[in-house]
Amino acid sequence: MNFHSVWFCIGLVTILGTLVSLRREHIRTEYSVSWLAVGIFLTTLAAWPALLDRISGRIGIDPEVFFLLAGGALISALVFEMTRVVSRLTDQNVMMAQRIAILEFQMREAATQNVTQDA
Amino acid sequence: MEHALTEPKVMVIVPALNEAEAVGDVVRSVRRVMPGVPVVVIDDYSEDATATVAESAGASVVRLPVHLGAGGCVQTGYKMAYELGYDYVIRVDGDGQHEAADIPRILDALISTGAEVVIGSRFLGRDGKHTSFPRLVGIAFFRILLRLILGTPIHDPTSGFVGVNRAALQVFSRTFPLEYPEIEILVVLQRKRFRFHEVSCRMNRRRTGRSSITPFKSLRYMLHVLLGVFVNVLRFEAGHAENENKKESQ
Repeated sequence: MNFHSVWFCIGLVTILGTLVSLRREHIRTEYSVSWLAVGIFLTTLAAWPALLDRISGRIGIDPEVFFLLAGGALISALVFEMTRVVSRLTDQNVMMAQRIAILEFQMREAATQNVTQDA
Repeated sequence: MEHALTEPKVMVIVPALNEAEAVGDVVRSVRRVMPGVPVVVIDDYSEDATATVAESAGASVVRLPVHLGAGGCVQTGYKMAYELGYDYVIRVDGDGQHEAADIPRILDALISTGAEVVIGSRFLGRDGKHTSFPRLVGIAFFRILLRLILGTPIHDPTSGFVGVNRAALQVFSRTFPLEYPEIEILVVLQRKRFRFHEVSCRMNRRRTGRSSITPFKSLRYMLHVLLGVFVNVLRFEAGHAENENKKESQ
């Protein structure tokens, strides 16, 4: 297998894996778009080496190096986006945990007051 | 006028994680020194009987459904106090390091100086005994750093013995660092143009459990806090630049 075939397969597996996970509801649609974009990018450039040669020629670097750099940049962008998502979810979790604790506390306090009044 | 005639509402919060052996004494000593003041233990999802022991000692207990860390735990207390309309909140650690007898001095300083935050300092007029060597090194480092940022000396930047007024409660109930909050909040205060004041306090050896700042975690602690301080300084600069632009446009 040559360089292009390997990356074509990786791109295809990325697309298929994302679609299967979507179908099984293991990942949410909004987070699957980036992965599908990565898969389409990899398969497109791997399937049309002429396109890859043309783009890398314009930039003035080796096609294989361009391919790896572009793929790496996309993956890095994905990881960064995921970090943002995780950070946002962490903040939301903390807020919810605090809210639950405070509400639970107020409910217990109210119940205790009711018991005292009844007695 | 009505404020001058009514007593300020004060709450003591005690963040605690696995402090079953110490928290009972802490609650009892606080209740002895501050009769009539609600003592609320914020149980950070302890695995031991911290919540039960605290309740038996006479405290109200807020039980977090998951472990949030020191910052998230303290912020829960601040949020609750703010929502319930409290004017002043004193934070006392659940490990017994802080002397309940010093609470009235922190409260008096909050009221008399009008500072938004009052810090109980183990170094102000004292030698800070019972402080581990790695912590002393960290404190010395952050003293120098904060002197540069705040423009005023701070003797005990890592103290958890802190009193805040309602203005600070409002800010901290919205934004508060989740980990190692003590140093970062000083920069937040500076950004908000709040004042802080230090009062001399005693510091006991922790009765049980382990400090969250061990020698092995010191490097991570330093890096984490440095990053937090740096980010807050950046926010301060951004806010300052915005204010300057507004002034110019006016």
